[in-house]
Order: sequence, then C-alpha cells, then structure tokens
Amino acid sequence: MIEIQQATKLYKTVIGVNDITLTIKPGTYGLLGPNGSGKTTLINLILGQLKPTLGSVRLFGENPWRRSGLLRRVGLCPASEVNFPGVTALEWVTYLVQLHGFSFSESGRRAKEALETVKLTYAMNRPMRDYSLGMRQRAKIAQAIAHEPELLILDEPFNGLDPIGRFEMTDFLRNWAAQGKSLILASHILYEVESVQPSFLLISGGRLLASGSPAEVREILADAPFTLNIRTSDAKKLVGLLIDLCQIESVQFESNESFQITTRAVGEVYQLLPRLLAEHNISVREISSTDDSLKALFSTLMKMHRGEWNRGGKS
Amino acid sequence: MRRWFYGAGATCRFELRRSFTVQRIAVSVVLALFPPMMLTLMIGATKVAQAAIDPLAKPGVVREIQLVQGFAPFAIVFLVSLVCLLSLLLWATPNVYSELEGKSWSFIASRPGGRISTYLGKFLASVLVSFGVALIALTLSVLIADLMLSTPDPERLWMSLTAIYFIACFVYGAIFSMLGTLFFRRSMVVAAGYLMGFEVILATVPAVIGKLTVRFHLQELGIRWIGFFLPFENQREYQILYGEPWPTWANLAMLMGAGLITLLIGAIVIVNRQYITSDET
Repeated sequence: MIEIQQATKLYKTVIGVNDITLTIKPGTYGLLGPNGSGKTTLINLILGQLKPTLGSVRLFGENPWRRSGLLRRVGLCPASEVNFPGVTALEWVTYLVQLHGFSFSESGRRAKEALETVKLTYAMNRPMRDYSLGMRQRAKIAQAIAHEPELLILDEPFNGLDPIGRFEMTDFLRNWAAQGKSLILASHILYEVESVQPSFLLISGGRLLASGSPAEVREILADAPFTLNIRTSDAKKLVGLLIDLCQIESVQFESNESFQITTRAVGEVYQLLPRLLAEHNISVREISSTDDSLKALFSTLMKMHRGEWNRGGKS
Repeated sequence: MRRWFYGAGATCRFELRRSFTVQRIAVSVVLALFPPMMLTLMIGATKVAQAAIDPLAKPGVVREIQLVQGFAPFAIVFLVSLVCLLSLLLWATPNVYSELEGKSWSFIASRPGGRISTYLGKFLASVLVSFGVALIALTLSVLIADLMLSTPDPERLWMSLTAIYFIACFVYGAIFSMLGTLFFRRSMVVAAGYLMGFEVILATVPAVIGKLTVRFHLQELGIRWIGFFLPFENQREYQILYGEPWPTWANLAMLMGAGLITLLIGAIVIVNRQYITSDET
C-alpha cells in the first residue's frame, strides 16, 4: 500500500523526516512519536503534499506528488482545528466531498451518511461555532470517511476529547479496522493507540526507530529501564531493602523521605513492595513514575539507536 | 478537468456562503456606497461653492456645472475603480494564505485536484463579489450624476463601464490570485505594490512599457466606448503622448491573454508548490 525508500524531508536546515525506509501493507497502524517527531511530515509525504528532498514515496504503487488522483482512495483527518464559525457541519462536509468530484446532491447524501456514522446527525445543521471540541472532531472524521476511502489517516484524533469522546473514537476506529479497511493513526500517547490494537511505527527525531506488533513493543518496554519516585517514612531503610532484593540500576535521594530509583525489573519492585512495607513497618505516602510508557519506550529506543544499549539490558 | 470545475463551483459556492457574515457584508456595502457618496459630495460642494460666490451669476453657474458634468465620467471611473480594486485585493490575494492561516489547507490539499479547485473557485468568488460591488457603485453613481447634473447618455456610460469593470475584475482578479500563490505571506502588500508600481506609475509613462499594463488597455476601451473622459485638454493631446489607439480586438486580446496567462501561472504554482502548514512536525 505504501512504500517509502530512504525518504528525507528537509525544511531548509531543519530535518522533518530523516532517511526513512518503510513498507506499509493494508492493515491498522499506530504512528507513534513525541510532539515534533515528524509524524505530520511523514503523513504529508505519504499524501503527496510534500515532496521528499531525498528518496521516494509510493502510495498504491504510484508517486503521490505527481498523481493527486490517488487521494480519492485516502481519507485524511488532520490534527488542525477547523474554524468556520457560520458554516454548518453538513455544508462543510458536503463541500469537501464535492472536491472529490461528486455532484452536489451526491455529496450531500454522502455527507449525511458520514455524519450519521459519527453520530452527529442531530447537530449537522447547526453552525460549527456552537460545537464542542468532540463534535468538531467528529465532523472532521466525517469529512475523511464520506467518500469511502480505502485508507484512513488520522493525525492526533484523540486531542482534546473527554473520556466519553475517547471511548466513542476508539469504538469507531475499531469498527473501521474490523471492516477490513486500512488505518494509520498518528499519536503521541501510547495507550490511546494501543486500544485500537494496531501494529506500531515508532518515530522520533524524524527517524523511524522501530516497527512491530503490540507484543514486540511490549517486549521492548519490558526491558526498558523504569524510573520510580517514592515518598516514604524511612527512605534509607527502604532503599537498602530494595537494593538487596531487586535489580536496581541507580538510586537518587531527594530528601530523607523521598528518593528515585531506576530499574529494569519494575514488575518485581511492584510485587515486593507491599510485603517489604508490611514486614518492616514502613509507610509509603506516594509512588509515581517520571516516565509514561511511551517516554520510556522512546528513551530505550533512542539508546538502542545510538548503540548505547542492546536488547537484553546491557548498557 | 471535470473534477476541477465541479470543485471550483463548490469552492465558489462555499466561499460565498461562509462570507455571509455581518463584517464581510458591511465591508462590501461600505465599498459599494463610497463612490456615490463621494460623487454626491463633490457635485453638491461645487454647486454650493458656486452659488456662494455669485448666486445671481447664472452664466457662471452654468459654466462650472458644465465643467463638473464633463468631469463626472472620470470621477465615476476613478471612484468605482478604487473600490473594485480594493474589493479584489481583499478577496483574491489571500487565496492561499487564508487557508494556511485558517488551518484548512490540509483538508483541501488532501483532495484530488483540491488545490486547483480552490484556486479557481476563490478566483471566481472574488470576481463575482468585486464585480457586484462595482456594479452597485457604478449604477448608483451614474444615477446620481444623471439626477444632479443631467449627464448626456447615462445608459451608454453605464453599459460601457459595466462591460469594462467585468473585464477589469477578471484580469485583475487573475493577477491578484496569481500573486496570492506566489507571495502568499505578503500577497496583499505585493498586490498593492504592483498596483502602485505598474498600474499607476508605469501606465502613465508614454512609452511601449506603459502599453503592457492592464490600465492602458482598459482606458483605450473606455475612450472608444464612452467617449473621451480623461482629464486632458483634448483627445489629440492624449494621442500625441500615448500614440494612436489600438484596435478594439487587440485591446481585448491583450486583456484576455493577460488574465488567462496569469491564471495559468497561478494554477501551475499552486499545484507544484509545497505549502508548509504550521502544524508540520
């Protein structure tokens, strides 16, 4: 479906995407990376909105920069917010469907169907200025699916959604994938993407760091060093016990009651901790992690990429 | 091609629909009413001043009024051209920038032929709105001139200028649209600079270069269709400076050619240019 060969995109002296080689077959993919990692640039290269400075990009076997007709087979939901205060969702979606070459009446019919799919029929004739963020997000999805594309690309679709909105979005994406249609979901939050059960494409600093199934990513995560902040009644005693019983890579005391440990065996620490606290009568006031899972994953991948760390845990 | 024209029609319709706001309507109304109001003030002030100097000197009043009467077509052309160009500046030049700024570019550019459709549709909308503004301004101005001065043959003046403004809207709309794709961040400044540099200064140069401006050819059409209306002592003086008039077909061909070529250049630019959106990461 998508073939990218050593594609690099430079914005003058800034690297947007750096030497990416990738083949994407039909399926569901999560394009993961921190903010500014090159996700949107990669999407724009795939869609032919940008021309690679080096390398080549092929979409459905053709050069998307030269063949804009390919876009008929793709639906894009960009991250950017729409701002047409006086226009209704029905008018907006109808207009965008017309740009695919459909007649006004056909576009109107398709727009209504798409708005029904995203459950926005009740508000489709209201001006978009009255919409909540979730409603605008649904309108954006509707314009991406109204022409029935084979491939749907969503850039940060969960941004600003409340828990109900997130649930509905996940539900919609699962249904889309279940219909056998392809999906690329770009996000910087791992658990949002995980909920759709995709294969992962991990990008950072414009480079593709890794790709693989959820199991493979979990395997990498399992080996990743994990940092825990613990606030307790007796920091020194608890650190001593943990060092004796677990594989702790580093310890940093912040005060007499607070310390930070880094370990690759975070599961072991979590299992041991309740027993140690009970047996030695130590109270814990707070346990927190400085890393969310994606941050830890990227930190590990960057170390692997730079050759500072090999799988198996050797630094 | 069919997709482009469907898309252009859809864009034009959507542009007109989305511009149906109090602010935009107010701007158009102010632009349309400016020429007739200024004309009323000019004619009224001349009449009042003349009456104040010598209310009983009837021959003098008649002479001054005749002078204003002769000057009226030029005043109408000048004022209506001003608002017509201002309207085109507001509508045609920000064709790309408004989409990038409004973050709607990604939605349009991810459609097959979306770039060209948007370009043509926005050009069409700018021509329609600006011609509408010019037409209202022109109609009211001609009516006022006729009511206050009894200008000779107002129907001919109105019909000739309607045709000239339609051509002007098409050609200038195309030029501004092209500038909007080339210099999208400073399109309005560049377009205003073009107007001042080419259409005001260069068009007054009595040399071949002056004949390459749009204004020269519109002026030639005006002289032929509504009679000599320029503030020169006589047409002979004008012809000594600027040479013999071109045939009508040549003026029309130059104008249409300029419009179509600039429209084509803009289309080529918009299709081949990589416009970077602010959320590119």
